Amino acid sequence: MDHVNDSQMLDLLGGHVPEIEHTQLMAHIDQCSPCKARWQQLADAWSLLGNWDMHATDTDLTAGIMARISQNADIQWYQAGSLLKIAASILIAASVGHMAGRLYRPDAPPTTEQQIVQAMHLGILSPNSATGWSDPLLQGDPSGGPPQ
Amino acid sequence: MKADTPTDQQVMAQLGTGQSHALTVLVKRYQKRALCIAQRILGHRDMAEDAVQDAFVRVYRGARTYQPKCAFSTWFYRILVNLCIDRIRRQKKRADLILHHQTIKTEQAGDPVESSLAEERKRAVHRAIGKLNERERTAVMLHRFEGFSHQRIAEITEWTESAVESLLVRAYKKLRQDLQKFK
Repeated sequence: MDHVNDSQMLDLLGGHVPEIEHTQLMAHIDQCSPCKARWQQLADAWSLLGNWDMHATDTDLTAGIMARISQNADIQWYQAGSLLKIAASILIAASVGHMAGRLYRPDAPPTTEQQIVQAMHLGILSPNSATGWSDPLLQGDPSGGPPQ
Repeated sequence: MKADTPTDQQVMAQLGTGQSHALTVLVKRYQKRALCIAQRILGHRDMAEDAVQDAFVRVYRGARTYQPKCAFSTWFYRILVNLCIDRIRRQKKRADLILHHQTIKTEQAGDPVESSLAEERKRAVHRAIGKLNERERTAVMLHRFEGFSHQRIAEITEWTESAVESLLVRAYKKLRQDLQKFK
C-alpha cells in the first residue's frame, strides 16, 4: 500500500473517511514509521487547535438585520428619487428645447443678389473683409465707393 | 427537524414572495453558527457581527432571485465567508486579529502552573492562526471547527477541491511547525 498523504490524514482526523477505508489507512499508519510520525504531528496540531475556543454568546442579531434592511430600503428610495429627479430635469430640458425650436423664426431667406454674392465669394472684396486689399482702391473712388 | 417546521428552501420561498418575517426564521437558525465562523475568520466580535448582519441582508435581497442549486446553508456560508475574506483584505487588520485573540481569557484551572501553561498554549495557537493567510485560515476553520469535508469546503468557498486540499495541507504544516514545542 502507498503511503498515506497529508490530505488523507486530514480526512481521517476530520472523520470524513468511510469505515472500511479508515481501518485500512490506520492499519498502514500503525505499521509505517514515516506515516506514523507525520500522523502524530498532524494529530498534535489538530488537538492543539482545540484551544482555539470560541464562546458563542446568545446575541440576537434580528433587530440589527431588520434595521439594516429598512435603512437599505430608504437608501434605495432616495436613490430612486434622485434618478427620477435627473430624468425629470432631462425631460424638462428636452421639452423646453423642443418648444424653443418650434417658436424660433429664422431670418428672411437671402435675396437672389445675396445668393450670387455668396456663390461667387464676392464677400472677400468688401472693404471690411479679412483681406481688405480693395480698401485703398475704393478710398480713391470719386463716387465714394460702397457704403461703409 | 419536525414535520411542521419549514425547510430552509420553503422559508426562502416565503421570503422571495415578500414575507420578510421569514428572514427571522433563518436568522434564528443560523446566526449562532455564523457568528462563530465569522469570529474565527475575522478574529473580532464586532466585525463578525457586522459581517453576519451583512450576510443576512444579502440573503434578504437575493431571495427573489434565489435558485436552490445547492443547500441553503452552503449558499449562506458562501456569502458569509466571502464577506469575511473581503473584510480582511480591505482592512488588513491581521495585527489586530492577533492582539484580539491574545486578550481572550483562559478559564482558570485549579493548578496555577497548569493554568499558565494552558494560557501559553492558547496564545501560541492564536498567534499561529494569526500567521495564516485568510484563505488558509478559512479552510482550517471550516475543516477543524465546523467539521466540513474538503468537498463541502470547496462548495462553500467555490475553490477547487484540490485547492482546498493544498491550502489545508499547507496550513496544518505551518501550524504543526509553529506549535511543535507544545506537543
